[in-house]
Amino acid sequence: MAAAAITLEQVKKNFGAVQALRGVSLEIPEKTVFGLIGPNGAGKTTLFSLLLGYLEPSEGSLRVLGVKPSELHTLRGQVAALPQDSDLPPTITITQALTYFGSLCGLSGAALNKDIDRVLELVDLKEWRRAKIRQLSHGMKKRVGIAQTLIGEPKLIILDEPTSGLDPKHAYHLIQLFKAITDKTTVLISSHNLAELEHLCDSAVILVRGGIVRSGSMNDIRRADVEVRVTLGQGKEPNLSVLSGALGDARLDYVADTRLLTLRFEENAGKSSDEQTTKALSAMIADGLTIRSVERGQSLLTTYLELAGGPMPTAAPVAAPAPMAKI
Amino acid sequence: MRLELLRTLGSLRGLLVIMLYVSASALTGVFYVYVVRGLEEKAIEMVAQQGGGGMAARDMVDITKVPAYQSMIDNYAGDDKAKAELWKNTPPIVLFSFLIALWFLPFLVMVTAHDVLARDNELRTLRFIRPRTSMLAWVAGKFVAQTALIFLVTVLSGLVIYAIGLAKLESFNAVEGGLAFATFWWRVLIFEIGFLGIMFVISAACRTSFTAIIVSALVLFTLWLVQFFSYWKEGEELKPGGYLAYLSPFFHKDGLWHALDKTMWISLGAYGLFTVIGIALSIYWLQEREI
Repeated sequence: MAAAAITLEQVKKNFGAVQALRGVSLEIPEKTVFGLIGPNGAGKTTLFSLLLGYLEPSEGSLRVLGVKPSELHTLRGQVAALPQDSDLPPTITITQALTYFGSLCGLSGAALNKDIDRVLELVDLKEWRRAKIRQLSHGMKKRVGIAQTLIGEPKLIILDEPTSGLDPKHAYHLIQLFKAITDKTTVLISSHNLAELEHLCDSAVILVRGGIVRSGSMNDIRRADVEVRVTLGQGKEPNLSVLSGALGDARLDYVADTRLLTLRFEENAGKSSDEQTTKALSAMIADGLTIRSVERGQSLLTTYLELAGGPMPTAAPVAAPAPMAKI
Repeated sequence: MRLELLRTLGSLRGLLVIMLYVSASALTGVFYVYVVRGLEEKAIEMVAQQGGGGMAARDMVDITKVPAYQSMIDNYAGDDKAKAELWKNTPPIVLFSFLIALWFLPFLVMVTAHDVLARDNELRTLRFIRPRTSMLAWVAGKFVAQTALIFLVTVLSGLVIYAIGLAKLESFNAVEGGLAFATFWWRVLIFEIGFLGIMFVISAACRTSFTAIIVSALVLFTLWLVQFFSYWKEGEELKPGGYLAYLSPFFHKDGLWHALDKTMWISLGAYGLFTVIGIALSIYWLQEREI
């Protein structure tokens, strides 16, 4: 088991009567990409702010790379952050900004210049190095913000919505980049782009109304080991009683409209999910069904919608109350 | 620290402040020279008419020895004999330029330093910085950069005055003038550093540059008023409100014109306290405040 880069124990944060975090406990292992998922107002930015020492917790304890967040500066550049809604000074150039942040990490001289070249290359801004921050587009500013997190090769990078405002090409490249640096670095990332997180993160936590509703590896989050979703081809309807008999403990749900057959296995039933899936598919084929696609677990979006309170109403401006989250 | 220096001195505002201040000094110097030279020429003419030769008359005319000038200094210095003595032995162009500088320096400090921390608060650049470095190092870097800017401004404007005196005033002695500049210049720097401390607290406390400039102007005006609260003279009882004057850096200015006596030490201590307390409060504020 890898050592923890971040540890939270029963962390609470209140803003007056509003409880933004309700006793969050969490361990984020080193050298992984960890996702923080949740709807607006779930407490993600509050959690980021606590981890970076911008806010003090009302209760509980936090450790980031072994120190209290208020003492992060003693690690001299081992923690870098891309906070939301923060701007770089508009009158300085990209190189000056990176020199400034690099020197705060203890870099200087040729080593600093070399590192600036490296990070500018990584974020594809080498040709813009002499441009002033105010001359840059939103996406380019974002990339400068990401470049400053990479300078000095920190041990932990905390990113709040790093790819919002980026074009798909640069967003894709940066996602690949974050994945590639985990041999040295832990990356904690928050994003509303669930497809991106699904691809990028090793593990994640879903926060809803200040509390954790699910956490673990991406497979755990998506219930990939306990749920198989089979979309049947056109033709024969499945005989659920026959399939249930063949599958033993598994629960079956079938939605005729979408021809989606969901199999939920009992956790720790003594058989691996691979064996159970193979057995289920064999039974279906034996029953004469055709199979269009098989998906292990839910998509992250489906999981998220289920946990965060269901999809938004599509028509009426006067919305019905959201259903309670299934936790 | 080096980067803060570059940021401050290399900024448009920094360059503008330097240019404006140096230009204002040059104008003041030139204005002074024409007034003094006119007076000197008239005096030389009068002495020559009374029988003195041209050169002899020129040697006799030293404005610092003119009784009217000395009584003007006595009037301006009030009961402070040490101050009057120092001023009488200072080349007038140096005295004149530094007295003008002391009038404007608090406002110069306000213009350059009011948003030194508030700007990073407003842009939330502080969020990039706080996990990386201690607020002590960061604020110290900014303080040194601001001090360097004022240092540069006062040196450059002093040099301009010095050059004007040397080039245009026949009574201006290069060595005496240089020594007088050195004697006055460090006093001005200490005066300025005290104000910087106050500006740093305001800048740390304000969340926007606009708020910072408004609050700075109000605080400076209040401190300027408060200096008049003390009517205390040696041997008299200090009135209750008089203590407030000690809180004003304007009030301690006079002590700087003394040699190293008790009054001078009180002034130095006061400016030191304004600086140290100002920086300490700024650091505390930036470190403890939720951002």
